[in-house]
Amino acid sequence: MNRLDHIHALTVNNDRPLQMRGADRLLLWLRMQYEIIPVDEAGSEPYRVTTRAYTYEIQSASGQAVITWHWHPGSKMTEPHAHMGTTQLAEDSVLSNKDHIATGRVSMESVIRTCIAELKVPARRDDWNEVLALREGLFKLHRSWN
Amino acid sequence: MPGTTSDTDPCDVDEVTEEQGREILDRAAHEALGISGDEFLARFDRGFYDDSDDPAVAGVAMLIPFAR
Repeated sequence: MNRLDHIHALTVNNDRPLQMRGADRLLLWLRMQYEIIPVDEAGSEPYRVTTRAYTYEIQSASGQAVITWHWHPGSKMTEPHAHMGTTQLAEDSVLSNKDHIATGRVSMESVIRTCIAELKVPARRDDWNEVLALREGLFKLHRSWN
Repeated sequence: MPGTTSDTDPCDVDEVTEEQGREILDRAAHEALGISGDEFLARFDRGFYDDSDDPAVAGVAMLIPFAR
């Protein structure tokens, strides 16, 4: 049950990577933790959902990580970061998969934008940019970390 | 948005029971770490992963609320 004072988990597609369209047959895998918090502001809804942790991963068609974004502040590594997938690392790479590359907080919308705009995943609607911009605007408006 | 073209399907949201949540955690722990969900929880609670920087551990830990 989605009760207050409790952190909840969320997955997409029954915790299986989503098959995206496009020539590269990339996969997108999402896990999040969220909390429902009261809002004490005149004129606003009484509750809203806030993100408490996330892992977003773009995978190759074979299911190997291309890039992973993590934020899990309850662990040793409290800051948001990314891991380069082994598919993107050469034997003589300076980076390894376990290195934490600093990022800001990353929204699910910005990961979807990366898939469409950078990785050439075909969008399923022609107003994708406006839809993502609207959702990202709400994310920035309500984020509590900045 | 009006006037746009979309071939998206309606999105269903399933709220899982604690038992189903434990199955999700168990499957993830097996696939990522080769252990059961219960063993992962036991290790997590006794601090076994406190110094871990393994992305696989972080990924499984994300699902802990499903089991509690």
